Amino acid sequence: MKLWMITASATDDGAPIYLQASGRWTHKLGGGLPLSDEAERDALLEAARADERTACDPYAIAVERSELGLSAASLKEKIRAGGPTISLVEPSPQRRMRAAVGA
Amino acid sequence: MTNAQPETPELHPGARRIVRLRGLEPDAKAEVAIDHWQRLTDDDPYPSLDALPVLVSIERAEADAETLRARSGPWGVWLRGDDEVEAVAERVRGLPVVAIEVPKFTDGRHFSLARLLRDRYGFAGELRAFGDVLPDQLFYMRRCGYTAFELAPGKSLDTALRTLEAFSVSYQGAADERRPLYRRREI
Amino acid sequence: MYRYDAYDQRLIDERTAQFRDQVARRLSGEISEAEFKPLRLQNGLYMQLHAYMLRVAIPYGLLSSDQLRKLAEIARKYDRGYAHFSTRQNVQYNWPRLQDVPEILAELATVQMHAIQTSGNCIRNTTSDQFAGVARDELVDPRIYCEIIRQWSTFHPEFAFLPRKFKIAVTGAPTADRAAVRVHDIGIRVIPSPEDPSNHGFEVLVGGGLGRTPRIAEVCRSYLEREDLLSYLEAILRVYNRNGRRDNKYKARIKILVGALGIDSFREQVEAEWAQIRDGVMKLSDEEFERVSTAFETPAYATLEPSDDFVAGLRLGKDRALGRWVASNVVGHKVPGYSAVTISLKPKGKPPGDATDEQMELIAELADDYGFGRIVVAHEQNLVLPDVDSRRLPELHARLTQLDLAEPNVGKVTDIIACPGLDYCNLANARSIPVATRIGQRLDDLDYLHDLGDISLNISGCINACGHHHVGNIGILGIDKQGEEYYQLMLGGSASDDASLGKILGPAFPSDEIVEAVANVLETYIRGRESADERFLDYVRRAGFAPFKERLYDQRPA
Repeated sequence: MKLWMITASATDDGAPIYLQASGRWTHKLGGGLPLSDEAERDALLEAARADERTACDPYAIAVERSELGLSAASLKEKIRAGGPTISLVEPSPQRRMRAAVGA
Repeated sequence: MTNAQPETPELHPGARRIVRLRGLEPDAKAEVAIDHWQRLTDDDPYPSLDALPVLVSIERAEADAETLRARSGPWGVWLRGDDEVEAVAERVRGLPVVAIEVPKFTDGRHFSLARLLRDRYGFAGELRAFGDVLPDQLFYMRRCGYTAFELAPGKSLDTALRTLEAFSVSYQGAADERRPLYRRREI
Repeated sequence: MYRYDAYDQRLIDERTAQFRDQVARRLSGEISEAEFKPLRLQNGLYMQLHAYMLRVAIPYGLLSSDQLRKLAEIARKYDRGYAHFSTRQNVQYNWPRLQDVPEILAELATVQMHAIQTSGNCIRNTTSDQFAGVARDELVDPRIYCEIIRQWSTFHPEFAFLPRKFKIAVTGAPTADRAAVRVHDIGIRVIPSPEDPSNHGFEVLVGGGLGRTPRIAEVCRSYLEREDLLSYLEAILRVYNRNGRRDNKYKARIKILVGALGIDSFREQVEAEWAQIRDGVMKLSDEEFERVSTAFETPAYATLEPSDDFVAGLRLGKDRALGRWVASNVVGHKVPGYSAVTISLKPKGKPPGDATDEQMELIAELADDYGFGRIVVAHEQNLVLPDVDSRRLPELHARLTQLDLAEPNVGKVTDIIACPGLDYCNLANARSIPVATRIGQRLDDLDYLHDLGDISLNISGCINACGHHHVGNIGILGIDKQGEEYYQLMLGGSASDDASLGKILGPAFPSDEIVEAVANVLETYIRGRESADERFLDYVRRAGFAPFKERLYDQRPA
C-alpha cells in the first residue's frame, strides 16, 4: 500500500514541516499523518496551500512504514528530514534546542 | 492617500481606479485616478455611450478607422507585451494612450517594448500597463516609461503609490532619465 | 577596496527598506509566495532543503577585513556559525530566518555590502580573477570594468525579468584567464588595441555556460573600444530580453539563443541594436574611468627588494611543509617583494569552501597583519590575501598552520570545487560534499598530491552543474539511478584559455566506488605521463580515454 504525507517548508525559517492529523504542522516526519487515500491527500494538499503564513510550497511525498516507524521513501526526503549528512560545524546545543522547540 | 479625481461621477460599470504619474520625470508625483478607458477585444461591441474612450488592438484600429473617427470619445491602442516595437511604433504615434498587456509578470519583454517606444520612437502619450501588474514591479516599469498602471485585481493602490518611490537615485539611464549616473553626478 | 560614495550607499539603504517592506507584506499575507518569490530571489534569498539560503554579493570577490568580520558576525548572530563561499565569488548562509533577513541586509549595508541580484532572472554578480590587480600576467586591472558593469546592471529596470539568469565575467589577463570567461553568458577579455598596443579594449564573448547544455562562448565582437563597454552590453541584453526563449526554463539561457541563431546572425542583431545607441549618453568618458579607478584604494606598497629568489628558496628549503605550501598556495605579485597567498578552504575531511565565524575573523586579522586589510574570494572557493610581503611568508605559514588553515593543496586535485549537493540543495540528485571529503581523505599523501601537479576536480550534485563539473580536468556528476546515488566521471575539461568541456569516461560509479575510481584515474596518469612536466590535462588530451577505460573498466570484476 502506497503511503503519502504532506510536507512543506516553514515560512519562518524554511525548515521541513509535516502535516499532522490535527491540521497543524510538526518538524518530525514521524509525527506526520500518513495518507493512503489519494483523494484525501489531494484535498489536504489544496488546504495546505492556503496557509502561506505558516507553510511554503506544500507537496506530497512517499513515506514508508517499518518497525522503526514512518520514514521518507526517497533519499532526498530522508536527508531533508534528517538534516545535512555532513556539516562544518555541529549545531550548538542552544541551536539544537531552538530547532527542537520550533522557535 | 487616495486622490479621487474631483467630482467625476462613476458613469460606467467599467470605470476603475488606476495609478497615474503626472509626468515621465523621475520625481513626477503619482496619484490614484478614476479611469474610464474601455479596453475592447476584437469582438467586443463599442460602448453605447459614445463619449467613452476606448482602447482597441492595432488591427482593429486600422479596420475600424472610420468608426473610431466618427465617435466623440478618444481612442487608443493596446499592445501585447511581446509585440515587436518595430512593427507597432509608427502606428501608435500621436495616440493619447497606448496600453501594454503584461501577460505574466515574469515575462519581461514588455519592459523593452515600453522603453523603446519612449526612447527610440518618441511616444509622448500615456503609456499604461495592464494585466499581471503588481506593485513591486512598478518602479522598474516607471523607469521604462510607463506613466499609468492598472493593477491586477485585488492589489493595493496604497502599496503601489509607495513602491513607485522605492529608490531616489539610479545608476543607469532609462526612459525617465536618459543619462546614466556618471553623466549626472555631482560627486 | 572600492570606496562607496553617497549614491552607492543610498541605493543599498533604500534596497534594504524596500525588502523589509516586502517581507512585512509577505508575512501579513498582502502578497502571496508566488509574488514574493522573485522579489526574495532578487535579494539572494532561496528556499532550500532544510532552510532558506541567503547569498550575499561580493562584487568581483573583493572584501575588506571589516567586511569579512561582519560576515563572521552575521554567521554567528543569525546563522549556525559558518558560511560557504560560492563558485561565483559570493558567500552563502544556509540557515537564515525570513524575519531576520531585513536585519541582516541592514547590517551588511553598514559595511557597504548587500545581496542584490544574486539570484533571479536578472544580471548577477560580475566576477573576475582572484588575482585581479596584482597578477604579473595581467594587462589591465579588470576590477574597474567589473565595477562599472556592476553599477550599470544594478536595478537595471529593463532587464529585471530576463528569460533566465545572466552571468558576466571579466579577465584582465589575456593569456591566463582565471575568471572562466568562456563559460559565462558574456565573457570579457581585456586585450591590447590592434591599432595601438599601448591602449586596450575588449574582446566580447557570448553564449558560454554549463548546466544541461554546456557550451563554450563564441566571439561576438573581436575588439570593442572601452568607451563602448556599456552600450554594447546593453545591446546584447536587449536582444536577449526580446528574443530569448521563455517557454522552457531549461532552454532559456542566452547560449541557447546564440546556438539557435548561429553566432553570425546573433552578432548581426546585436550590432544593429548597438548602432542605435552606441553614440548616445552611454558612452563612457575618461573622467568616469578615472573616477572609478580612483575609488579603488591602492595599498600603500612599500619599496621592497625583489623576492623571486627568496621564494624559490623557500620552495626548495628544508622545511618541507613550508616548501609545499609555498609551491601550491603562493604566486608572484606585480609589485616587487610581494606575493599573493591563497588560503585553502579545502582542508581534509571538511566541506569544501566553508569557513566558521572564528576562521573568518582570524583570516580578517591576518589580512590586517599581512595584507593591507584585503581579502579576495576565488571562484575555486578559497580566500586570497593578495598583498603579502614575501619575506613574511614563513611567519604567515606558521600562523596559518596553528590555525589549521595551511592546507597546501591550492590547484591540486584535492582543491575540489563542489556544489552543496543533496545535503543542502533541493535541485540535487546526489550528495557532493561527502564525495569531496572522502577524496580528500583518500589522497592525503601531500608529496603524491604535489607530484600529480595541478589538476582541477569539480563535483556537481545534479545536471545544473553549479560545481562546474564540465570544465574540471576531472569532473564528477552525481545522478540518481533507481533511488541510489551514482557518479559519472568526466575527463578533459578546462575553464581557462584552452577551454574545453569534459567527456564522460564510461558507466557511472556507485557511491562506494567513485573515490577509488578517481584514485585510479590519477594512477593512470602517473604511469602514463611522459614526464612530471606533462600536466594531467595535456596527458588526457594526448593519450585519450583508452588508458583510463582500461584501468577503470576492463579490470573491474564482471
